[in-house]
Amino acid sequence: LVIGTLLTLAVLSVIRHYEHKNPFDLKAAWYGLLVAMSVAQVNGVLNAVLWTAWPTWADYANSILPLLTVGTSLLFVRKLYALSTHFHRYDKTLVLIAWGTLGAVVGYVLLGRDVADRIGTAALLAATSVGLLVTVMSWRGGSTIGTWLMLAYVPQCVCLMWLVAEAFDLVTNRWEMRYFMSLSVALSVPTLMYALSRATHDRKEVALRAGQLPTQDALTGLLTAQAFQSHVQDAYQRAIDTREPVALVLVSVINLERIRATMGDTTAEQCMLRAVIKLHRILRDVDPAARIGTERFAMVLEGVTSRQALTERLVKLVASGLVPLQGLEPEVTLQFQAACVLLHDNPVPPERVLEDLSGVLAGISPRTRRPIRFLEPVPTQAAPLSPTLEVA
Amino acid sequence: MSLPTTLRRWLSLGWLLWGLTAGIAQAQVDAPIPLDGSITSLQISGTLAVRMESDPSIGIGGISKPTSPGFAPHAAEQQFALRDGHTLWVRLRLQRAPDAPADWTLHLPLPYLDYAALYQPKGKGSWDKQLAGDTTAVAQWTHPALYPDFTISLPETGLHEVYLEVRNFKPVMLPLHLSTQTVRDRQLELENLGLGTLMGMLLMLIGGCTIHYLQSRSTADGWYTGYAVLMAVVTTNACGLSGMWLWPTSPLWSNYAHMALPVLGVGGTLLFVRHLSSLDVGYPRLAKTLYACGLAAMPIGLLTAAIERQTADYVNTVYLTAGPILIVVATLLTWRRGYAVSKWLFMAYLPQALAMLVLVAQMWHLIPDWWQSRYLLVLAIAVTVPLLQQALHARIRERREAQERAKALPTQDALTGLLTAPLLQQQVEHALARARHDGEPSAIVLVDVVNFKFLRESYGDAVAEQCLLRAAVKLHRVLRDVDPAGRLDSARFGMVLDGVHDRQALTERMVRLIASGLIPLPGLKPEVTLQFHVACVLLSEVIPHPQTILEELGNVLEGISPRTRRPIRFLEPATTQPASLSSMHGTSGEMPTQPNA
Repeated sequence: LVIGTLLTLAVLSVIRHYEHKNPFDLKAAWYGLLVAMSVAQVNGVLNAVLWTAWPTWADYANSILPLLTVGTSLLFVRKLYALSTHFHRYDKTLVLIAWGTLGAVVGYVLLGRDVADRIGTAALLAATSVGLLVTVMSWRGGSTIGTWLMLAYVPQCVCLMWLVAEAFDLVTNRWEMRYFMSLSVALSVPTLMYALSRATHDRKEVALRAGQLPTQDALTGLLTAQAFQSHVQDAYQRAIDTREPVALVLVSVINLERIRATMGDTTAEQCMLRAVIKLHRILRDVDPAARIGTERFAMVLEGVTSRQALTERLVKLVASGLVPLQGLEPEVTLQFQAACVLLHDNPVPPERVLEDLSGVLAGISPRTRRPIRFLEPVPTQAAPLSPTLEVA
Repeated sequence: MSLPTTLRRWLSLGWLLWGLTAGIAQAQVDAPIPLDGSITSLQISGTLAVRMESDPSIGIGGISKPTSPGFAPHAAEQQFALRDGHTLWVRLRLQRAPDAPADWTLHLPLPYLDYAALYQPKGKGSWDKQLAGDTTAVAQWTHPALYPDFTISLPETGLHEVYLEVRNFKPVMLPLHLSTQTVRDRQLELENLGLGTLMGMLLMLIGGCTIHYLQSRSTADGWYTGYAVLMAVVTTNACGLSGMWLWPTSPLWSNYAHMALPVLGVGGTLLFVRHLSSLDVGYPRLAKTLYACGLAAMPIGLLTAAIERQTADYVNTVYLTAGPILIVVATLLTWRRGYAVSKWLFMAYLPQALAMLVLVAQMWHLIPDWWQSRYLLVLAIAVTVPLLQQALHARIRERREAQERAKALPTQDALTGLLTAPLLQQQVEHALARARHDGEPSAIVLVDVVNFKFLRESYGDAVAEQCLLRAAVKLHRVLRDVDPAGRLDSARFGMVLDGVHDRQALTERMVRLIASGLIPLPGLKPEVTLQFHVACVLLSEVIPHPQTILEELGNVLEGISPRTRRPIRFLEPATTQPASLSSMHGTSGEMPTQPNA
């Protein structure tokens, strides 16, 4: 169970590395794999499965793998805490102990087993204590991930202290402690990975948005006008071919320019982001939406059959805009106006539909009481008699 | 030659051939299975000696009598035509060689088998009986396991006869595996490792869904969590884990669950796929069909308890055939329509649907039986886990990120995700305090995108915002994860670089930033570059006043010409002026501006 969870975490880290190209994710995957191996080794799984033909290595692996894991773990958290920034000396000590723990493995080759074991135990004890100490320091220093790291390290340390106390006959031996230790080590992996994900989330998110810029708007994450046009064409085709009910809506935040002029660019951008959240509330997961120009959004609403249904949705949007935005002083509201067309009733060609809707929006007064308007179909005119007569 | 003579010859030849065939078959039936030191594990193949009873069984006492009706040959790889009330007896003759071990095991990896018992003679005409099968509580099995697993003790060399009694409500193929106890122990270790890994993966899926639910509190995410739990139960049931761990004392439910849970699993998947792929938007009729089929899982599952099991099994088979086909069709159609989430759903469910169809084809006898196909399905479900996680993640990623950014607005800039101006000011003050008290080296840097105004006027707001986002990414490349950075104005950024103590190192970093700005931004025509100007101060050289430092750096930036060849400038420490004699007599009220002063 534990091994499955750890392996899944390692695979997820590799997928994350593939997505974000952050080498730290690859290190996290390696760390997860190493912990999985250590847990499997301590509980005898690797001896039974992998090294059945190498009894000498199987014997030594019980001592060596935990050393490798704890050493790597220290190097991992050192990066995570960025200790070198504020605690140079402590950082150097940590590096020294981490590499010392990894180096203690050499003792098993050069020295006798007894001596190497003693060195290994001392290294493990020192490394875990240092790990706990550095976590406490980071926590007290107000690190955002400090709590998570405390959760990862405290159970491990308690278990290790117990095992050491057992070794010195200070407490009675309990066979269950081996499993508690494995569990606490295993628990540290998702916790550390979550901490890593929180620490790097913002940057990854910005990089991801930048990577999607050809098709997505930088600020809102909605589609760009070009990418949206193909959705409009598809919707139009479906409305023509199969009479599928589809609505196209253009929404404008008419007071954005005023907000920009009075409160600056950054506040205007905040307002646009909040406008998008309000827009999402009336859209389904699969409805495409885009930013068209500075203060306009367009969306395709599939499955909307009537004006009534569409109006009800847009009324919600307009009303939500009138709720003052949180955290802005003086109060700011968003004034939405919408122009809509039901493509199955009025199939305006995709090349000019957005233009026509813009025309409708342009015709709405800023002080209107009817902020939702529909693009009306052109009324059928009686054909003049003269061409018929000419043909005749 | 007269006709009767010819006929008689043909008849004689026919008798001879029949006798020969029957003799060979009988010889094969009676042929013992040799167990010597070279064999550690084998699946019994060839011909088995079996006897089918449709009446109440005469029991081992009757079967083992020398006068009892004989056993007939039957191919081991073919199905046995079992049904309710039938009993199948299999006689196994095991020939132990002197170099073979005494302890063996016989296992049938079929968790859904109704009843299995193994009889071994224990002297004086009595028999040792081992019991298993899902109509018996697992806790009461002789060896509680995932499926029938018996021990065979062959204390002496020579020929041993053991009998296997099997009952099931429908035809079944019996994969009989003989292994030495040592090899079997190892097989079990590997099996447990594999199943543990699978369970760990399923737990991850449940955990992931629960976290999504706790974050969003959306009903849909709650249902997805329920679905993940259902799939975990279905999978564990297919492996026999549920029978062993979840309901070891309930044979009735254990027996019923093998029929009902797969149906519920398929039904749940139909509803899950329908909702996740928003099928009702483009394909309302198909969506209704999927909805009806999904809901039908409940009555069909209950049917097993209400009507004869054989008939219920036919209904189940039809349902299990239709369900996977509908799932694949729905995901394929919505994928083709352009829904990103459907790509992941299709990849996740295609292997599962294929494995399910293989199982169904075996039930309909369209393809030969292969007992491993059940485990193929389990493997397909395991493959589904990361793909479903990806699908769930992809479904809401953009929206959730926009929401997260909106939530973080009090501290983060909407466009770039950098700190807001007041928060950066705080960070700057912290850095100044550290430099003043502990002498910690840091640098405060202000960066301007000087051509931003031109870009906005020429290309519009959307492109200008793109440029700022790309500028933030370039800024990140010269910063470490822990270095705070913020947006101070439309096109002005500020950063605190901890641990930087000399101009050379800082200049090198800033040169990288300026150079990266000169690379044309991808995807923009005509080419657009970002022109960065940088103003820095090293706190190891000078510690300005916290309230004025950003303003002073801003002044440095304002003083740089747009066409400059020196886009990186430093805030210079005030040159030491000779103090006027008059001030020597008074006390200076000014704050020290040098570190550790």
